[in-house]
Amino acid sequence: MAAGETAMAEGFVRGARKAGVDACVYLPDSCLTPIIRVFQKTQGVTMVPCAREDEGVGVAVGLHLGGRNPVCLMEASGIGYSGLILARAQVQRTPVIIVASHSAGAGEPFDYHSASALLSEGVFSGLGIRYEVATSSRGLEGLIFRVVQTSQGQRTCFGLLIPPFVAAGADS
Amino acid sequence: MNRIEAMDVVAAARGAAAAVTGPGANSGLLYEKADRPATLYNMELGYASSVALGVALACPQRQVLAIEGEGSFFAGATILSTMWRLRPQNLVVIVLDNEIWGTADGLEPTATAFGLDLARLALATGWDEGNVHPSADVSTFRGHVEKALRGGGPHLVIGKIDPKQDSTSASGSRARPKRHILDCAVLMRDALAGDD
Repeated sequence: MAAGETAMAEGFVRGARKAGVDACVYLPDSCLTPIIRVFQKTQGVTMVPCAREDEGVGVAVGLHLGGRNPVCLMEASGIGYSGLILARAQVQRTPVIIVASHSAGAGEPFDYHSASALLSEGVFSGLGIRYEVATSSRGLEGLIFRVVQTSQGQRTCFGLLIPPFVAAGADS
Repeated sequence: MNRIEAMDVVAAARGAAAAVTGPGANSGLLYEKADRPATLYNMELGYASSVALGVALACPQRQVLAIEGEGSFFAGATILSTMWRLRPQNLVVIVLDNEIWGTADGLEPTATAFGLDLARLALATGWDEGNVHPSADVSTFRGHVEKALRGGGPHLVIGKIDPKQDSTSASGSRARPKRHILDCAVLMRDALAGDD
């Protein structure tokens, strides 16, 4: 991992742990893998690798019902698969937190991410799920803390989109 | 075996197990026969088993049931590999397979009517034969369910339901849970609080 990625990932996990996150449901993703690697080395975090993002959201719903506080890490394409189970989570007030790479904003150079970038904010908006787009790797620690705080306090799903330049720690 | 006989078996064996049921007839029957606070009814198509897996991982001291029809289970069948990868010993997945989509007039066949074998699918995703339990009669099904609920999971119990004897196939003729899904989620989390 590059130094910027390491600092970004460590800050993210520090903030998540401070907020009480104790499980990480994930599919690997080029932007978010540094965070997955730090979670894997962190004691007290249950790691759940999945075959599809929507089954991962289902697992996260179950983890929360069983008293745990998970986050789901995925490429934004997985949000498209997850529409139905996210809607169920929202209706039954199970606060699933989705952390995904790519947004519809600046800093997305590759055409093959266009669909992912288009759908993530569309699904969140369509389902009434609040979301934030990270703009600073150094601010991620506080941002994920506040996302977890709001998600759990308001019993609502919440999205956090991390563009590639933020995930790379190349924003400063 | 018909669905009501199968759900009588599940109800008698359930004990304090948490349960997540898929959409359709199984939800109403479990509500009528063995309702408990730790139950989520009518989970969306394809997700009862994945939600149950999450509950099982969160609460390793409690038995956890997923109960789905074959249409719903196959729609989310990637969960087979994830369940086996994580292997929670307290998870039991029960699939009641009548080879018909349980909606509308109950006449549309599912994939198992054309040769899909869910037991072989589980084996192909890595499951051991000792954890996969196909059954077509009540006595065998009862034995599998009771044994699976004693632990050593994950277990996949597949109960073949005779479509000619399944009076619950059409959506207009079935019982439904009388608790809202929001209340189910609140009750379930409360009932499982302290399990770990």
